[in-house]
Amino acid sequence: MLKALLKSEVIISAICAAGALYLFFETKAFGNLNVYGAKLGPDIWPKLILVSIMALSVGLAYNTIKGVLKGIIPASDKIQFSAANLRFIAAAGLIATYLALLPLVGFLVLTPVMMIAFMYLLGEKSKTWIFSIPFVLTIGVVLVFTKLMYVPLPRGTGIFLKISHLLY
Amino acid sequence: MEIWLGSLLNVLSPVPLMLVAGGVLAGVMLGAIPGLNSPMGTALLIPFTFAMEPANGLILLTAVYCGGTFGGSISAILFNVPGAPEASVTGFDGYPMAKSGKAGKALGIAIMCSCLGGIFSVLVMSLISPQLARVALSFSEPEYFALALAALTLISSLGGDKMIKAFIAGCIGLLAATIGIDPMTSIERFTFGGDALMAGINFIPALIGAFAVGEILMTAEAGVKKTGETVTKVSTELPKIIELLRLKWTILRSAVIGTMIGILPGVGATTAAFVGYSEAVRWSKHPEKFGTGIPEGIAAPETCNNAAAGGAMVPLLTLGIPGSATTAVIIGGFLVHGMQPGPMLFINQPGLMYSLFIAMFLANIFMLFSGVIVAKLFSNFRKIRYSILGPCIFVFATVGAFGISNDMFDVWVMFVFGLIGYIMKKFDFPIAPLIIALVLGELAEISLRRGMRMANWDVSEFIFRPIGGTILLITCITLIFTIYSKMKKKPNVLAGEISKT
Repeated sequence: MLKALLKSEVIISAICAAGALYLFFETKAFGNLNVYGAKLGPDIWPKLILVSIMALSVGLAYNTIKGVLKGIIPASDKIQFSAANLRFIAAAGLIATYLALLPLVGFLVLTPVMMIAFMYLLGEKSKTWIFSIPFVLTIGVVLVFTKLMYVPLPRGTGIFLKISHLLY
Repeated sequence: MEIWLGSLLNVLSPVPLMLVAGGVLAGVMLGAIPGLNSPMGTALLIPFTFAMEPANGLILLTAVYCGGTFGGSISAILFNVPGAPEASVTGFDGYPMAKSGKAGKALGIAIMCSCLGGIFSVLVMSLISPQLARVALSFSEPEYFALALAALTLISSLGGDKMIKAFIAGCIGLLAATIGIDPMTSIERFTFGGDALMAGINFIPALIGAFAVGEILMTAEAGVKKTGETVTKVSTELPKIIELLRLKWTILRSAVIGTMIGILPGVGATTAAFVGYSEAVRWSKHPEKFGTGIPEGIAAPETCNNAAAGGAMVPLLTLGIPGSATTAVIIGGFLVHGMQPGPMLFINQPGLMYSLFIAMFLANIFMLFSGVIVAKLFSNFRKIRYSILGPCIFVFATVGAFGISNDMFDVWVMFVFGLIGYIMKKFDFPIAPLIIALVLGELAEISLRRGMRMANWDVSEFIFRPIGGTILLITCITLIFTIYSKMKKKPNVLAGEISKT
C-alpha cells in the first residue's frame, strides 16, 4: 500500500487536489455579485474547473493505487538523488538567477555570461564555441531587436546601463 | 472582367511583383524569429509605404502578412519555439517529426499546406466576400461558445492512453486562463493582491515555457549525449502529389474551417489553427497518433492558419472590421493613404481591391520559394550540437517572451511554465491540452456567460440555434463516442496508466 501511495501519480494528484481546494476557498473572495452577470458570476467558471481538478485527481490517484495493488501498474522505484537531478537543479537555478539579474545587469552584459555557464552545464567542450557564440549571438540579437524592431531589451542599472548605452 | 484584367496587369508589373516577393520573404523571416511577428513587421513597414502608390503599399503589407503567418512554423518545427502565435499548434506534431529526423519533410508539408490554405482563402475571398461577411456577422456568443467547446473536446483525444492526465492538464490550462480581471465584472481573480497578474497570463510566454524551456530543462537533466537526438542535414522536401492526395481531406477541411474562422472578427489565425487541429484529430481514424509527429498534425493547423489569414481580410475589406491583429494594422495602411476600408471601397476603388486579391494569391505562391529559402537558413542551426543550440534557443525564447509586451513578468511566466512543462513531461502528462485550454479558456467562459445573459439565462437558446446547436450536438456526440471507445478498447485507460517505454 505504501509503495502505491508513493507512486508519482498519487503524489501529483494529492498536490493538484490540495491546490485546487485552496484555490476553491480563494474564489469566495470574488463575491456573489448582485449586479450584471450575477447568475454566472466571476466565481462560477473557476469553481467548476477546480471541482473538476479535484475529482480528476481523486480518480487518477484511485486508479493508480488500484493498478499498483493489482499489479497492473509497476510500483514506484526507490527515490534517490542523482547527478541528473543536480543538473536539472543547476539549469533551473541558472535560468532563475539570469532572469532575476536581467533588469539589474542588462541583456548585453548578462546574456553571454549565462550562455557560457549554460554551455558548460550542458557539457560543451569546445572553448572556441563557448567563447564565440555567446558574444556573437548577444550582439546580433541586441542589434536586430533594438535597432530594427525597437524592442527595448533590459539595459541594467549603474555601470551596466552605461555599457548597454554603448550599443543601444 | 476589365477591372480584373487591369488589376492583373498592374500586379504583374515589376515593382508590385518585387514588393510581393520581398514582402513575403521579409514576412517569413519575421515570423520565423520568436519575438517578432507579422503585426509588428506590418506596423514597422507602414512608414515605408508613405512614398509608395497606395496599391503598392497595401500589396507590400498584405504580402508581409501572408509570409508572417507561415514563418512562425519554421522555428516551431525545428526548435519547438513557435515564431508566431498562429504556429503554436504546428509544433505539436512538427517538432516530434523533426526530432525523428524528418525535419525537411515536416517543413515541406507546412510550406505546401500554408500555400494551399492561403490560395483557397484568397479564391473564396475574391468570389464571395460580401456574402461570407454577412454569415460571419450572424455569429453570436452561443456560436463562439460552441466553437470553443468543440476545440476543447479535442483534449479527450489528445491524451491518448492518459485521458485523466489530459483532462487535468486541460483544467489547469482553463484555470490559468481565468487569472486576471474578469472581463464582465472587473473583479480580480487569483491575482493574490498583486498587479502583475491583473492582465492575466499571456499564452505565448506560457507556450514557449512549457515547450521550449521544459525541453531544455529535460535535456539538461538527461545530459546532451544521452538524449539520443540525431542531428542530420535538413533540406526541405515538398510533399509529393501522392502524399498530398493522402492529406486531401485534412487540407480541404482545414482550408474551409480556417477561412470561416478567419472571417469571424476578432478570432484570428491562432484559434483557427487550434480548431483545425482539433477537427483533424476528431475526423482521424488514428487520433492517438496526433502529437507523435504525423503529417496530418502539421497539415491541419498550417492550412488553417494561412486560410484564416485570407479570411481575416474579408471583414476588413467588406465591412472595415479587422479580423485579426495584423489586419487591424493593415487598416492603418489604408488610412495613411486616405482610404477607409469597407463596402464603399469596392465601389470607389474596385481595381485596388482586385489588385490586393491577386497580390495575395501571388504571395501564397511566392511563399513556397521564400519558405524553402528561410527554412534552409534556419535548418542550418539544427546541425549545431544541443549544448550550443540549447542556450541559443533559451536566449531567443527569453527575447520572444519579453518582446510581447516588453515586460519581465512575461519572461517569468515563461520560466514558471517551463518548470510546469518539465514536470508534465517527466510524469507523462500531455502538454498540448494545457496550452489549448489556456488559449480557448477565455473565449469559452466569456461567450458562455455573455450568451447566457443575452438569452436571459435560458439554456435552450444555446441548443436550438441552427449553427451553434449543430456544433454543440456534433461536439457532444464525438466526445461521448471518444470516451466510450477508449473505455471499451482498454479497460485501464482511465487509470492514466503510464506507458513509459
